[in-house]
Amino acid sequence: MRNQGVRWLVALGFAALPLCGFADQGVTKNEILIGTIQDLSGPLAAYSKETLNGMNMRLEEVNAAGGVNGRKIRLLVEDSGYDTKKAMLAAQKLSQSDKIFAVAGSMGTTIALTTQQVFQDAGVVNLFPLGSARGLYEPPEMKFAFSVPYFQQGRGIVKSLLATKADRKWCSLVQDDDLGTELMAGVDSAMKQAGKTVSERTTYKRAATDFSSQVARLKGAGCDTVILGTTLRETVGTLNEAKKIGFAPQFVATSAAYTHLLPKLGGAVTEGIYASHSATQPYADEGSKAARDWYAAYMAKFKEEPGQFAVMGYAVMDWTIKAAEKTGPNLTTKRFIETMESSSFPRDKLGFDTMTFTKTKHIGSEAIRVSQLKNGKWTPVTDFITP
Amino acid sequence: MDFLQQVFSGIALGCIYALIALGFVLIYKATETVNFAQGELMMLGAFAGLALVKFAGLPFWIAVLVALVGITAFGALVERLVIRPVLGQPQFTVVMLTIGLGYVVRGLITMVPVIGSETSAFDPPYKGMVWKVGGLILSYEQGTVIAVTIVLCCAFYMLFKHTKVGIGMQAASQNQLAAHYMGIPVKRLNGLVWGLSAGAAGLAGLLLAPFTFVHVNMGYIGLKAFPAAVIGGFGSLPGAVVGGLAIGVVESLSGYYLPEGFKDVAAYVLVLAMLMVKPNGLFGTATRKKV
Amino acid sequence: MRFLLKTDYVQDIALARQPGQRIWYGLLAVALAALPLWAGAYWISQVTLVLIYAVAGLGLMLLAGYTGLASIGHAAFLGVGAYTQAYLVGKGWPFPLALLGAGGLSAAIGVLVGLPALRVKGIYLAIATLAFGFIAEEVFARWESVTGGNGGLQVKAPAIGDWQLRSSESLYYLSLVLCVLVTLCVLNLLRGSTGRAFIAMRDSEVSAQSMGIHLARYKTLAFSLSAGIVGLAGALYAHKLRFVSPEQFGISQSIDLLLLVVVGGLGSVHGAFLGAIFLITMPQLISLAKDYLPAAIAQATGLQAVVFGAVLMGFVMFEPQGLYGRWVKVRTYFEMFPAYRKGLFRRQKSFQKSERLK
Repeated sequence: MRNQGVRWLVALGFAALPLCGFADQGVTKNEILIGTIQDLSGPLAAYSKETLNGMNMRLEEVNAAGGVNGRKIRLLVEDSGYDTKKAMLAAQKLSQSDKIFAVAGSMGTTIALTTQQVFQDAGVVNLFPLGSARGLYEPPEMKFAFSVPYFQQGRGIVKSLLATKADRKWCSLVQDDDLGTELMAGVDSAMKQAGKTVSERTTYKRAATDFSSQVARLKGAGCDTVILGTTLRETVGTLNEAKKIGFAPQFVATSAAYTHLLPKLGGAVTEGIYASHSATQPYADEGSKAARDWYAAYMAKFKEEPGQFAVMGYAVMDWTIKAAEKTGPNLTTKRFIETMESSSFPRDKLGFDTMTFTKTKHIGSEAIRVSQLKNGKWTPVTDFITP
Repeated sequence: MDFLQQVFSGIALGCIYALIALGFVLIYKATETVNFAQGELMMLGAFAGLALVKFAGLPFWIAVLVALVGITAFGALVERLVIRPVLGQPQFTVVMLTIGLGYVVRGLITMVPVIGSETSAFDPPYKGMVWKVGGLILSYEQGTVIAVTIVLCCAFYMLFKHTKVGIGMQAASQNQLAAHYMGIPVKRLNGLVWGLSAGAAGLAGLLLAPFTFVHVNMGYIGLKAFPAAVIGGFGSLPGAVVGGLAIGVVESLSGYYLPEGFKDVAAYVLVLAMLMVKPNGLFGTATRKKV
Repeated sequence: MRFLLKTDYVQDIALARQPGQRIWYGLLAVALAALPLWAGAYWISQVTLVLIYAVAGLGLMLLAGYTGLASIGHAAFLGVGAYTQAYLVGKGWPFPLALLGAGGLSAAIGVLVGLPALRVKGIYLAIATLAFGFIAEEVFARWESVTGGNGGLQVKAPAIGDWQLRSSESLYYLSLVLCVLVTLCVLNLLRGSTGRAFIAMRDSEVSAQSMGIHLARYKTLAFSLSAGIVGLAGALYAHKLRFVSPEQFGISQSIDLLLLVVVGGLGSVHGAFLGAIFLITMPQLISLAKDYLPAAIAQATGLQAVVFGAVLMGFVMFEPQGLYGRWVKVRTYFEMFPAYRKGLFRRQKSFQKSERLK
């Protein structure tokens, strides 16, 4: 028994070569199979629900109009529960059992980073994960990203703030994980170019609820500009603490805090905060007519307000469809990737910047814009800045 | 002045931990079992208050009262259905049971429509108001937590030392069979204890909502309350408060003066240090088996 | 009714008590060795994960099931093994040496954790291990030069020089070989004097000490062996997932491991395997069952947590000996038919505090 096992091991070991081929699966006469790995039962469940709504909305639109070159799109959803081993199993199921053509919009940076290896080995193209990391588009293999990583957001924030007022006392309060480290790396690189430094840096552990010592340190250092690498809850917590001790600098957050839930949760204390973002929050009575119509259509369909993630889900599906249409009826993985690498998606009603992909650039756009929360609504104060 | 402000913030933070630890220690003192679902009961109390205000439209204080009563009843129900069948079994059994209970409660809460999977604010009427004493600033929310912790600690202490019920609980924790023979209704007392502990947890949840916001994972703060109870000695109520305060102050000061990262592990380093020096905590009693 | 007539001491400590067992285990071995022939890639992946978690379960079972020391921070050792393996393989070490390194470092850290364990008992030990688990997670996140911090670390495929084990079949065979080796080692340990010392300590420390068992030495040994085995599992886990990050080794992973040993059956080697199968296949079963449930429940986000919690509670309340215990009861019923009595497996209840202090 043991010998047999060893012989198998040796044979397979020698026969095992790096698997970098194209899968060329998931496309039949009538259907294109697209997979997505979402968090249906974990901490990001609410975001995944919105994302799926957005994706399904676009999907149903295109299927009602006859599909992509005559093929209808079917979306297969797998649950990761925000657990890496379940995500990995889900990725294998999608690529090997269900035989999808492409995976799109996977939720969560860690999940996307873990599963992209599986999809790479299975020859399935990985499209537009909902996560921010440079590893999601570098090196430029079978993956394409749209979400601007925190490194570029940091650079963009510094650039936009320097443009309005050059003389500032800079401080930061960031989460002690890759969100914070990437953000500060970007901030530092832009600051170095401008010949400035961050005076006081503080961090907090993910899911912390007490910011009294950090905010006290920032106040003690006399900062007038504070960069926040925080998510929803921590932003409100920090703002509450700052109000309590009478500390009122200019707060600038990232896309992690750019959500319509922020004014809902924090109320008046969130008024006036700035945030960088790449996708734009839609409102019922703001923006272009096309954006307002989209908002109304979403409300009618799902009976709730669309947030950032609904917008991203819709856009992800939209770009995938456009690229598939451009590739034509002969839809293979290789041709799809070639099409993507020569594509440019113009600014659309959802407020994204122009997304351009080339052979070496697999991220659509690294530009961000900054908005300010005025009267409980996010209002853009800059156009897209290239970091 | 900065130092004092940090100490004050630390005391307020520590009272949060102490409030949750009081619930643990209460159950441990009376039944010698540990309740790992204390954080989830806390979360349940906060959600109950939120639901009453949001869906039933009750005013804040009425909602708080009804939520407390509800949670106390829930605690007694849990004891009757889940803990009583395993009476007499090893400690580890009940620990695993409460861990399972925590999972179930978390899962059920996420199924509640609208508020289940979101973060919501549960603002008391005194939100945002602050006391300014000299150069120190203390918010009303922090003050309420400190006051309630002290009151609750004294109340429980009196209960255990001076009332018949309390002495009965202590007897039951030492020898359930003998207590039963002496006419002490052991099972009913257990139910009462779990109800009280759940009530304490619910109160903690309602008071904490301004700091942590109401969401399904807010109970994780309960994991910091374990070190608090251990530092104080698991069978001692004042010990739980002292332990909580110790952790709160150490966290606050290390967050201000030490480099990043120390604030987060301060509680755990402290508990390990305490276990090396005094394995039974500050006020705990060492128990030996006579052979 | 089946009788087991033993005429030799060797029969008493033999691994297979009846000839029939040898046949069944032989069939299992053949089925597992030939798995890639009859199962698809998805099932190979699942079985590999089951094997990895079984090894981790064996480690925790040795500590919690056989020595009676509860540990709520065991995922830390999984993490130590995973990161050590990722680091050493990244530096180009051949994988057998890296595996030894991962297991060895884990065992060394297990000794460090075991030292305070000598002074504390029961719930205090559980809290101490919980604290250790949190500190370990923080170290993984902070020590960026070695662990890559919160951004995580990519893990290269196991290799000896130029020969790489990249395919999932080769990783499966590696896990299978390692799992079989570890199981045989653990079984051997348990039927020797060390294993008996562990069991004695679980049943009553005072009595064990009176019989001459050096408590400190055996407790430290239990911790280090358990940590070493879990470290090996962690190394394989790193290769399987190809990406490690600190949040994978937090408290929820520790509770998953505890769930594994309790549902599998505390105090049995089979329990580790049954628990691993339960842990890995339950989510799939829930997804399959979703089609038969009403939409409101099936789409609910918390369904999996509820099912896991309910199953754990159910086992603790009604079947404390776990899946393996249930199997033993069924088997005993048929072995002793018609002489089986319900009271054969009655649990011991202790109502006195002094009885609970062992």
